[in-house]
Order: sequence, then structure tokens, then C-alpha cells
Amino acid sequence: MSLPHRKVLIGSTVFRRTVLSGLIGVIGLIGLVWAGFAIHRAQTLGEVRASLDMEIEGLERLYADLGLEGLVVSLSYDGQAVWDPDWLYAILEEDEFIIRVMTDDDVTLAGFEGIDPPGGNSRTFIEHEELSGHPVLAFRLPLDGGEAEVVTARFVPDRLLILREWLVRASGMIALAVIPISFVTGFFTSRSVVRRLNTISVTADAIDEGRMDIRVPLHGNGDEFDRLSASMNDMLDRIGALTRNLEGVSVGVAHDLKTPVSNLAGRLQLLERDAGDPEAVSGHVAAAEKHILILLRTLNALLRLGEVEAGRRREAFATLDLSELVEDMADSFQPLFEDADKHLDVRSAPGVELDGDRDLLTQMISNLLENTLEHARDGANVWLRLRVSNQTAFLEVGDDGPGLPANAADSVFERFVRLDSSRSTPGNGLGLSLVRAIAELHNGHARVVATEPGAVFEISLPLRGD
Amino acid sequence: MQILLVEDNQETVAFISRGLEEARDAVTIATAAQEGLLAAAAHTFDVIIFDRLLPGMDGLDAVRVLRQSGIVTPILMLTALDGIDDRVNGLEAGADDYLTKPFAFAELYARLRALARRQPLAEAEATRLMVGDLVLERTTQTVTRAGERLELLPREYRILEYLMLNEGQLVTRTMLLETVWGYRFDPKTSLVQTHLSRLRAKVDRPFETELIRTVRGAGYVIAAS
Repeated sequence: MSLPHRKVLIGSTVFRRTVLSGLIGVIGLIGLVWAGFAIHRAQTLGEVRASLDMEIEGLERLYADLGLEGLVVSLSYDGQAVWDPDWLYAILEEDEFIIRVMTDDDVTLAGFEGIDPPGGNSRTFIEHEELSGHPVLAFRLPLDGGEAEVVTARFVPDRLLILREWLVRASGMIALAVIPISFVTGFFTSRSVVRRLNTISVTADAIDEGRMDIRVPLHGNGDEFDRLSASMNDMLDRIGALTRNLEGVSVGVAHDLKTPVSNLAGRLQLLERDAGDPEAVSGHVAAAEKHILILLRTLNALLRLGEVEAGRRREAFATLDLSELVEDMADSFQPLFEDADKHLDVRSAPGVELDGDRDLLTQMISNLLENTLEHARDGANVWLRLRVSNQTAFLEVGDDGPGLPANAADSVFERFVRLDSSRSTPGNGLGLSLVRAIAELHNGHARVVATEPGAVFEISLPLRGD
Repeated sequence: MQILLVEDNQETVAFISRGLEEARDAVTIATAAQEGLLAAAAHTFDVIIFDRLLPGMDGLDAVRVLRQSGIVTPILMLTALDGIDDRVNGLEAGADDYLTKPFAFAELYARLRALARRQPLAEAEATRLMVGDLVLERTTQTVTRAGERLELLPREYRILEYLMLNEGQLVTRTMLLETVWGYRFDPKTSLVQTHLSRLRAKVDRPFETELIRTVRGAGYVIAAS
């Protein structure tokens, strides 16, 4: 088997789906990580803000207790009210507060001169070159009395910034790495799927070319492709059997229709020849009618068989008493058996109920009894039994001789199969086919019981509630 | 009988109307469903023959329309379709009988007579049926001939009852199969003939005159002489 072409692989649905699902997975992962980061950041900044609030409250208390001068003094380090810019690194390292106290005309009284957030009661991020490029969370508040303003600020924690930078880089790298990986995975997945499908389509092509004996090779691991292949093979077997059956049926139909039609043609010629002889004419007409009757019987049986096999009758199923039907039919056929010098014995379990088609089951039993009437030897003992076991009704029609040839057990239910190949006896070889079709319509089976000396047919029909 | 034949196939029309004319029955022919509905509404017929497949309208629908407009004339439906469903559908639509093509004229005629006779319900419900000296009591299900009690099996009783309800008329084998046995198929065996010969052995053989007559290839008639 040749390897599928690369273009076929990349154009395949499997390929596209694999790539797409890889990408969606990565985007989802990155999104999730960033969402986690956003939550973490909001929490951390919230803590910083709360600490700034407390700090400014402390400053306000200092101012209230000591006045502006006292506040300025308390913020002095080493006697210096205004801080040296170099201290910034120490503050950053120790995560201390940055503070500035200034007059309303922006003269720094104490603290760090370089920080100048917008006024009002706002709390904003500001980035400041002098603050070593580090984002700061700051806010500014006028002190009571309005003679000065105070600013407090704190560096955004370092780990947050590092984490963000790391995440940006990682996201980019994952995205860059995953795209080629998902293409490669897609390529290989699609190659293995297309390969498996290819074996199926190669088989289908071969069948299309008329090689009906070809089957899909199985991988042997029982996966979904093996199951598909197996059910396809089953389907092919079934189609094959049907086709062979159909061929047999066509020949059977042709043969069974040809005989009466030829006879009819012969009678018409005789009619023409004997036109002057009324007695001969009525004889020919009666014979012709008989041939037409045979033709119609065959056609009707075929139509009925088709109707039953199509399964449409199932909708009309109703609960019926099979015991009663069997007894009634035995009653009807009893005189026929007596006249034919055969003894019919009936044993029926009472009250056997099932869902079914009364007309068809009647015809099924009638066909079985007629078959026995026709084929059992004179003086034969014939029996009709109805019994129930395992939620199944078993209907048995049998005789004690002469029985069927050993190889006929299966073929006897086929259409147009007649065991006397001469076709000298009446019948069209459809009666037992209809029996089987009706049994199967009722989810049952028809079989020949081979262990008996005579011809014994057993019909099993599942009872209601199955 | 006054018969309305609604049928578009010329061969079938010729076949049926010729037979009916020979039997001295009056036939009105309609070749389309609409035409047939108008005729059925305008005149009184003893029985209507309706084809199942008519141009422009399904015979089933036509029969439904007839029944809905209150026309109770017995209807026999003719069809080329031979499914069990088709038959059930036909009867459900309001047809009284259903006959599949092809058929023998004798079969059609026997059914038409049976349908036309169905009109007086009083007779179908009569408790006592009589043909010559043969008396069938429907309440006690007893049969006597010339005062002598006949022992009939239940099925034989039902055959005789059906024959007597159609006194003087042909009852075909198929009619018996459908009404007495309820079979909708044609058994290969001589089921009807066997039972009829047993019935005749009881009803006719011990007596001088024969009441049940065989019409060859068609069916049976019961009549006094």
C-alpha cells in the first residue's frame, strides 16, 4: 500500500483538527496562567494600598499632635529633613515607605523630593525615572489647615514585576514552540488515520470494480477502525449472500413463470386450431385458466414475501392468543389430513400470547401444514405442537417420514428451492420461504430439527415483553 | 341491480359492464373520481364499484368523501394492490368489500349480490333462516331438516349460516375463506371444498333433494330446488 500524499495529509480534517486543538489548548493554558497572575497582582497591590492608608493616617495623627514642624522633625534622618536620593536604594531593598511633605507651592519640607504624584485624593501608579524606573504606588493628601500636603508611596513589590516579565517571555516561548509541535503531531496523527482509512477506501474501490470477494484487512487491536472495517465486512458478506440469493431467485422466478406461460401459449395455439369444436374450446379455456392461476399464485406469493421481508407489517402487530389460533387451524385442517389418510395429532399449551400479525401467523401455520400434507407419506403420523420455554413459544410441525435429505436442512427455506428437482409436484417453492420470513418478522427463527427421522420444522417466536 | 362503476381502465370497464349487462343489471360508468362522486350523489344505486387508483384522486379519499357526505350505499373497492395494509386501509376508509385484480367475473358478481342484499338489515338479524325444509335457528344455533336435527360442527354451522344468508346467490370460495375462516390468503389445499363436502354429507346426502349446489370453479349456491 502506498503512503498517502503529503498534500492529502495536510488537507485532511484530522490534521486541521489536531492543529486546532493543540493551539486552543495552549491559548487556554496561557490565558489561565495570566488570569492567576492578575488575581495575585490585585491581591498584592490591595495589601500595599491598605498599608499606605495606615501610613497616611499615622502621619495625620503626628501632624495633629505635633504640628507641621513636629512632623518634619520626626521624618528627619541623621538631622536631614529632606532625604538624600541615594537612600532610595535602601528604601527599595527594605520595602519601606517613601514620604514627602511639601507646602502648597511645592517646596519640599521633609522626605523625598523627587516624588510628585497628581493631587487630590487619588491613588495612582506612577513611574519615575528618579525612582530607578521602578513603578510606585503613591497618593497625595492635603493636611488639615491646608498649609501643607503629604505624599506617601511604596514600591510595587519586585517579585510581581519579575513574575510578569517571566510570564511574558514564557507565553511567547510556549506559543512559538507549540505551533510547530502541533503541526508535527497533526501530521503524524493524520497520517495514521488516513492510512487506516486508505485501506478501507482501497477495498471499496476494488469492490466498485466488481471484485466482490475483497474484504477490509483488520488491524487486530479492535479499535474503532477495526470495528468499522468488521461491520463493513459483515455488510459485504450480507450483500454477497443477497446477490447470490437474488441470482438464484431470478432463475427461479423465470423458471416458475416460464412454465405456465409456455403452457398458456400452447393452449392458445390449440384454441386457434380447434376453434370450430366448442367442447375442445372450453377444455382449452379451462386449462388456460388453470395456468393463469398458477402464474398469479406465484406472483402473489412473491409480493407477499417482499411485503413481509420489508418489515412494514410490524406496525400492525397486536396481542393475539397463539394457542387459540393453533387449535382453530388444527380444527380446520383435520378433515384434510383425514382425507389424505394422514393422522394429525395436536398438542397445544394453553394461553400462549404474543404480539404479532394474525393474518401472517395464520398463513405461516397453514403453509407448514400444507407442506406436510403434500410431502408426508400416506398413513404418516403428523403432529402440531405448541409449547413455551424461556419466554419463547415453540411451534413444531412434524411427520414420521420420509424426512428431508441430510443436506436440505438449510436450503429448504430458500426461495424456489424444491427438493424434488423435477418440479413435477404442485407448489412454487415459496411456501417455506414465507414461513421463515414471517417467523423472522416476529423476531423468531424457523429451522429444521435434524435429529428426527421425519421432516420436523420448528418455529421459535419470542413472547411479549421481550 | 343499479350499479355505479367508477373505473378508468377501459379494459376493466368493458369486462365488468359487459358481464353486468348480460346479467341484466343497469350500469352507470364514471371514469374519474369527481364524476363518480357526482353520480353517487345524484342517483341512488344498489352498490358502487370504486377503483382504488383513479386519475386525479385516490379511490380511498373518494370513498371517504362519499361516506362523510352521508351516502351509505355499499361500496366494493377494486385494486391492483395486494398488500394486507391496502385491504385494511380500504375497509377503514368506508369500503364494504375489497377485491384484488385480476378476478373472475363470477367472483365480482357474487360479491356485488352479497353487498346489494346487505341493505335490509332486518334479514341479517333474523333469528331463523329457512331454505326449503332446512331451518337454522340462530339463537340456539340448531339446524333441522325436515324436522330432523342435524349435528354440525361450529365451523360447518357458520358455513351453512353464511350460505343461507345469501340464499339463491353464488358464494365463492374466497368469500367463504374471508368470512368463515377469516383467512386473507388463498390456501393451496382444498380447505373449503373438504369442509363443504362434509357439510353436504350432513345436510344433503341423507335427504332426497339437494339444497347446496357446486358451481364449478366458482363456489356454492344454496337454494330450494
